[in-house]
Amino acid sequence: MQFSNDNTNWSTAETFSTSKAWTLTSGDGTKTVYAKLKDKAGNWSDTTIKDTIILDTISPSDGTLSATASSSQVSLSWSGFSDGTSGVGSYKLVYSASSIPAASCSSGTQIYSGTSTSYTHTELTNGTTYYYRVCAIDNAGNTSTGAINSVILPPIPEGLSKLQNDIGIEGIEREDGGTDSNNLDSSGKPKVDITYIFKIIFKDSSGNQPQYVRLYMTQRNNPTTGNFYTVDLTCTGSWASGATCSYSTLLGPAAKHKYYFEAKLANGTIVRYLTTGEIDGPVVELLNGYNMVGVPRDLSGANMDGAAAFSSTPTYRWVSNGLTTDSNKGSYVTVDSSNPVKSGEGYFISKNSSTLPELGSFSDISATSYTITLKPGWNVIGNPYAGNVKLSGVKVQKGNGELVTWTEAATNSWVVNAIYYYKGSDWGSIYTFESAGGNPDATLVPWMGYWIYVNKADDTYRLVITRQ
Amino acid sequence: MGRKGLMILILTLVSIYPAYAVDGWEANLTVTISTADNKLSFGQRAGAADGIDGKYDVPALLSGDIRAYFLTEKGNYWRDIKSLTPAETKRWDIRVESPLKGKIIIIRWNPGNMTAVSVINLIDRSSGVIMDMKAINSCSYQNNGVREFSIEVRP
Repeated sequence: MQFSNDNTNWSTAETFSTSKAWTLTSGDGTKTVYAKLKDKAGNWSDTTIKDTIILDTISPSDGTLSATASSSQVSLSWSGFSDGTSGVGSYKLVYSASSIPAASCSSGTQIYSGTSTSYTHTELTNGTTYYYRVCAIDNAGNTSTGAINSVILPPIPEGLSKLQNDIGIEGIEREDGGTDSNNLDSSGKPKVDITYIFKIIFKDSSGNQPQYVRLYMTQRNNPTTGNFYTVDLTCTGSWASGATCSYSTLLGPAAKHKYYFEAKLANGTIVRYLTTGEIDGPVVELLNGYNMVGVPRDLSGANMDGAAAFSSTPTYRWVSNGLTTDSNKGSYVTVDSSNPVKSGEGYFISKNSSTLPELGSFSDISATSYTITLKPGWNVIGNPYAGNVKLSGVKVQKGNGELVTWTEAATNSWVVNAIYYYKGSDWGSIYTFESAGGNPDATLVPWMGYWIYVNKADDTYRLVITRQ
Repeated sequence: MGRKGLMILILTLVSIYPAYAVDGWEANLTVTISTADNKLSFGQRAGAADGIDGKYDVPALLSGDIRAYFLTEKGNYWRDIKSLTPAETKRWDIRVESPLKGKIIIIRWNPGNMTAVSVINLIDRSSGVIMDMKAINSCSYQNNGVREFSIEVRP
């Protein structure tokens, strides 16, 4: 057999073997090795036997590493790494909390290895400086020196504070990553099923758990103390270094959303964010076309038609005509002053303005519970209260019997364990649902309307909704 | 069966069957065409029945551009929670319909919600393709009419 680097100049013929050490031409790049074989009759192979290999002895060129700090985490991204011979195959990211990791990422703690160009380093200690180095590894295994950066995680203030990466409206973000000041998608269409996450940090350096961390919400422009509804936030992390507390919910198309956060420390001290006043929340627009809505105000005696209550003409209520197996059985009836809008009932309205009227001159329902009489079959209901109500906390009464929980009523097949709401003509004119105990756990949101279904026609069934 | 034999049986069962959460698990499937989507919920809960039960199961309220639902003996459902019996194979049959012919339908799920089960597959019953739902998080196809799938959980 013989070998060549150029298919012209050949090595001295030698006895056949199944392996051979061969010296390539100098310099990096693609190398081709040629071979010829001779049989025992003395005939040389007439087809070209060859293979190629990339010789790469040079490390990749380094790009840049960016690092952005937020509460207890650092967002890292890198770019500009290159290797002209064999190409960049992967990246290695290391960090240290004491000094810059050594060249070629040979020291520090490895936190990422792979082909991605970004990484979020979480569960870090605020007030600490972190040093990073990212190195590129080419397809021949050469490691670059690496690009470096460092970042200081700002200390968390005592008490309540907004997240350090909080942009837009304070204390709130959209689960879908959209602009938190509205409920519009990227093309400007309003959506009803956007989950807003209210988020705040609570820190008590003594490490004591607070008695509560709460969100106070209202849908009034000029609220008084009694207009706020509260919900306890769920907190994760260390109280001493700053726990992140959050609550996720849909928001109805109210004229206004205002809120603030409050925490009661272990020693009884109450702290508030904002210190005074409220944060103006997102503008939640009505859907284009038809919407399902409700009124969390005490409209008794007002005899309001749809135009007065919702700035919408026409406004329809649903009148069930009994149980059904395959389609709605009942009819839509126009709402007028002789059969006016009332709390606890849901309506179909057509969008005539951005949001619903505030109805600020009307008080909230003052009773601690509110009863809605249902009909067999489909019903459209609304939350009578201006605060969220968990469906699992709603009671159901059959005739004059004992109140049972919604879940028990569903288990008894009195009701279907769901609230259904309309997503609008921009979104395919479809419905979606939430169940008590499901994911998400069903919640009646103020100013929204919902279909519910009563499975039985053997008695009168009532919902008893308690202010939560 | 002696005590030793019983211990071996128990140890064998413990090693064979997946460690389900005490209360079970639940996951969502989102079926999207154009701007419309339907959410379907499925899983297994202690206290749930394989058939339709009022506490856990939710009939579908179908309308508009996408109609995806579980096919059950009681009709079309959006939520179907079955019994928590880890040793048994469970199956959910799904039908997807849309009047938007020629558009792409995407089915998405979060594999992170399925860690409680050992094997969970989405089976495209028209093509026979079997997808490991713990390994991928979506599939798509061009809407040319009614298409049926099954989700199968095996011990």
